[in-house]
Amino acid sequence: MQAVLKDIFQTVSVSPNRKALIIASDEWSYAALWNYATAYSKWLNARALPDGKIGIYTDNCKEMYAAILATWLAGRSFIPLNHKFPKERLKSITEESGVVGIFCLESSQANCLEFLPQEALILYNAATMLPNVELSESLASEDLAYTLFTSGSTGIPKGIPIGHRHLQALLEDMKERYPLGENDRVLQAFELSFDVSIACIFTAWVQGATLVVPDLNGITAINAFKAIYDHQVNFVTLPPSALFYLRRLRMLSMPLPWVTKTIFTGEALPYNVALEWKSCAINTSVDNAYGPTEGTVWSLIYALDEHTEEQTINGLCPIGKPTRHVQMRIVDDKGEDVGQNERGELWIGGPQIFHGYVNQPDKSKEVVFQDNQGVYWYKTGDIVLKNDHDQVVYVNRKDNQVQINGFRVELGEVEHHLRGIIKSEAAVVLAHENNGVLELFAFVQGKWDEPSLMNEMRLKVPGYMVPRSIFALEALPVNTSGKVDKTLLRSKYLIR
Amino acid sequence: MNNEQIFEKVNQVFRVIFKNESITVNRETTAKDIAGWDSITHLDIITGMEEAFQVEITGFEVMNLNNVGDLLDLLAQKLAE
Repeated sequence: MQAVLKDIFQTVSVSPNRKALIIASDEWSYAALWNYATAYSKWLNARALPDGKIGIYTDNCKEMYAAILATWLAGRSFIPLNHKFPKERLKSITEESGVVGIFCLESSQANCLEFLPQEALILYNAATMLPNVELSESLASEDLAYTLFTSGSTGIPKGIPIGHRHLQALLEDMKERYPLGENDRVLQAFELSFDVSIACIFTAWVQGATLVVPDLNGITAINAFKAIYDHQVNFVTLPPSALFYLRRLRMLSMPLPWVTKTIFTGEALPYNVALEWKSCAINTSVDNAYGPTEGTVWSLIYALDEHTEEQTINGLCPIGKPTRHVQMRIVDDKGEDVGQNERGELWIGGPQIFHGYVNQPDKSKEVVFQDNQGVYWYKTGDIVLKNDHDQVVYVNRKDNQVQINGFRVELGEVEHHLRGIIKSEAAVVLAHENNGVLELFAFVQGKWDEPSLMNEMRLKVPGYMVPRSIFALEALPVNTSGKVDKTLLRSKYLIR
Repeated sequence: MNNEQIFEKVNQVFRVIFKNESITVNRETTAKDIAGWDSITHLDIITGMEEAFQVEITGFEVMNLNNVGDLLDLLAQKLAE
């Protein structure tokens, strides 16, 4: 059995009645979680599906959480299929990665039939009728745990396979850094397709803490706040943009004195956001956690302290130092290490680093390599520097990648789909910040109807990749070098 | 303003926010029913309602909105105050 499952089973054995999961007014003990996970895994084995990965449709119910454990107990790995993603994208993900079965609620059956036939769907209600099948035993530590898909600049999402060994390396750091136990309540306010969810779930469960999951529809930040309040959650992980919603809807006057640890992640953390949160969660310490999915959730973490303000760059907090098993280099264009306070690309290495994208060997070669010690390294594309306090500070991106609501978005992918719709190259997408929230805006050349372009985009890409507005212009302005004049577009249409 | 007028105005706000004239919501409509209804559009909906009805809605009130019906009731209650 994998170490992560062993740790959870430890709590199941010693404290079966301890709460494992709270979703809305519903809850499961560790024993209930394990029993359902075992039942689902037996059912999965009994289905005798061909070799391949198991999709988990994100119904965001208790059963979905048990299904994660079930896939591992059955010796399989999972791929989250985010119900908010367009069908076309989910279809390409399931085909690309060889999904052979999907866990889902009966109410999601019709949606899942778009990707696989009836006999490949594993419905939770049917799975509780236990077949008498033994669990498969002893997975090797190299076995795949999950695959997440992220935005790809060529229009094809990139599949990032993460093994149990990678996850274990992360969790060793988490346990040491964030010791938790029976009395801790851990917020999990992220879709399963976003890797921070994995860190939240397993940092809680391998230590016997209780996971609290808010409603992920509507305004997640507001629902998360409600969950923190209703269930006295003390360990909170949020994207910094959550504060924008809480501020806008006048919620930061409500004290949350029981919050003792807050991790901001998914986006660069402005120092004033951390201060604003601390005015509400007065007893919390704040960490800024950084990491690409390729490095298993988090690779560098910074604990804010009295020296933070003097270390900010452009008002942003440092991203700190590598976690326990992560090595790091900051290099110039030639791959040579740069000096203190000099800017360079961040490379991360070690047992948390993935080994390459699904079916994309060329893209993998560009960003992943093994050194002569056999250590895997990932070139993050993030430009950083190491300051006088030996803390790494994020400066900007090397390419056209942005973070929208915590999600990684390649502007090139949005442009790719938009160009496909208008059947012309005359489309450009810009990311622009309004009141601390980064949003996408598109410009196309020609007489296009904005609502219909928006609707077509919604069929192709997840909501966070649909531009907030699409401006149809007679002609896209060009600068002296003949390129689209993005500065002009920004100043004329986006700066209010 | 009677309930029917509130309902019509609420629908208008939804059509503007989603840039879709064919949208008609009902009391049972939730975020799951309309493509593109995410955190930022949810906030747009709240802001749109505040402007259309000249009321102020707090996050604590937003917390208790489970569907459009709850929103209609909240607006009716605020307009009656």
